[in-house]
Amino acid sequence: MKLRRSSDGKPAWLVSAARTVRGSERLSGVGNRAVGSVQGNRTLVDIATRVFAFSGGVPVIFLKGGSPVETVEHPERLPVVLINAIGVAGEAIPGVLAEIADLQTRTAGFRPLLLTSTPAFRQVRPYGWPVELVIAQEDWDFPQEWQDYVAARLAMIATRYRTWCTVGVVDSALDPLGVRVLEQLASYRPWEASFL
Amino acid sequence: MSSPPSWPSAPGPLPPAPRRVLLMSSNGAGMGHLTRLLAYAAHLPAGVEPYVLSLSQAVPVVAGFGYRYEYLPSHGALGMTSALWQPLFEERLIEVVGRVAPSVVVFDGTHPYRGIDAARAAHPQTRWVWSRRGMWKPGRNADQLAKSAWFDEVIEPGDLAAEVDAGASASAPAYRVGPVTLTEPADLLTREAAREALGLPAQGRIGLVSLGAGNINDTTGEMGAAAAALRAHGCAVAVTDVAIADQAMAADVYAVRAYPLARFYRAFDLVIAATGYNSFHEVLRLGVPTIFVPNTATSLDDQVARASYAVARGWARSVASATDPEMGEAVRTMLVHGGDMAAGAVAADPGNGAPAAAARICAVLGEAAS
Repeated sequence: MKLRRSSDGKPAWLVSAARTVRGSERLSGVGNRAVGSVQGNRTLVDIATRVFAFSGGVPVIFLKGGSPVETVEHPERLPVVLINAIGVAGEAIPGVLAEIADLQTRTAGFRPLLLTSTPAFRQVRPYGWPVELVIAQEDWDFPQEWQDYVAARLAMIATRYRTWCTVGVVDSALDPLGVRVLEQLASYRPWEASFL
Repeated sequence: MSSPPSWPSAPGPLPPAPRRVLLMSSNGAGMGHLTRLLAYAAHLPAGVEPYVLSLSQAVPVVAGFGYRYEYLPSHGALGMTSALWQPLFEERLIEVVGRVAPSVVVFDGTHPYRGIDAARAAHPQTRWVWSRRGMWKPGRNADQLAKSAWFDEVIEPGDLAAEVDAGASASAPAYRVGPVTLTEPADLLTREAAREALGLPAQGRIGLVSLGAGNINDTTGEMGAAAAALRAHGCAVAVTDVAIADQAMAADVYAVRAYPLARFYRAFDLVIAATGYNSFHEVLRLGVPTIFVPNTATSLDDQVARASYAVARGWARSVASATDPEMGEAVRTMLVHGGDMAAGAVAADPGNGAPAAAARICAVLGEAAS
């Protein structure tokens, strides 16, 4: 019996299984655990990666993408990008949010996770993005260094949200180089083409 | 020869470091969890510092009370699966408890998250209290009661409708106190002062509609039907959601934004509200004429039982939906007799349970210190 294959030569059953898994919130969670549990075995990791994850290093993660990508198919495949707005004054936040929304609408290529030291939940709510809040440096009143506290949070965010990159805010606007990187993501998406 | 250096005199005994109570609220549908914790905090003695950790994006309101706070996003706010969120929650909670170093953590919610057990194990010197309101829908959430083992004490804020509580928590062991509200009758502003503070006209009848989301122009919906019933009886309409007021076509719709809004209740001739723990006890303890519209979509809170009990006691009216034909008659009745009915609830009020709850938290605090 001849094994059916996809257009790029991969077994059809594997492609089908991967599609099913990636489209399912529950099975993706299983996949994350599966990848973790086979660590140390190169062959098993390779198989688990092919079935459960994308090549190109952008794992599936179910996290709100926000209203600008509401109509995008499979938003869980869009890279999560940390927008580091720590230290940005409250009055500058709406402008930064508008800039992110414009970029996200234009590119439909990423999902922002906003990190602030100013509570801006009301301003962010219409955009539907997830928010993390840290204690502002001027309000810090603990024995540890504030920088260590922030560094630990950044490490946690990178790990738990699987952020693909970080874009800072400079002079109340997104870092220009970061903007260019996010623009590139609109067309540079090897993880979509390489497997399915 | 130089004179010997002068050393500062030995300092006196250092003032004792403030003992902290970490007040932790789950997300919830409204402000109930946060408000209950703020009520406890208001009755903690000087020398005990309340510090708030919340999964609710409404948490910045606690800054207005002078408390420090931190936000921990819920899995709902993130759109994340609970399986992926739980390790994040656990990691953050362990970090916060380690850094804030509270003597006691008070968790207010009906579903203690996995991770609390891990935080407790990571910081064994900290005592844990579960503030767990009752009135669970019969047959629901019983498995959560086993998590009482994670806590050193379970405090149940009382419910005026406790007599008809048929939920799983009703017979579970707990330290029970009276109904808890943040606002006391003595906190109420006069009608004139409340209207001025909220920017409402000094004259004329005004009804407050507090049903959450809705379209005020659509009289087939809850919000629109409630507004229409008020207008039909000569009442202007106040709503708590600015977005709803913005889409109102009529000029007699006012958006009111204040926290806690209960302080301003005398501004209104009538309140049309859902029957969540907070609203229910605020309007009844504060003597506000009210029509209840219980939210039947809650997963656990038995709002129908609460509303039915208030009606049976003659304290308020209730309708299953603001679109019910009887809504108009309910408004008419409450405008005429609402004051007397609400007075009946005030007469039955056993008093605020917040001081007793705070005292119990302090007792646990004392146990932690010893």
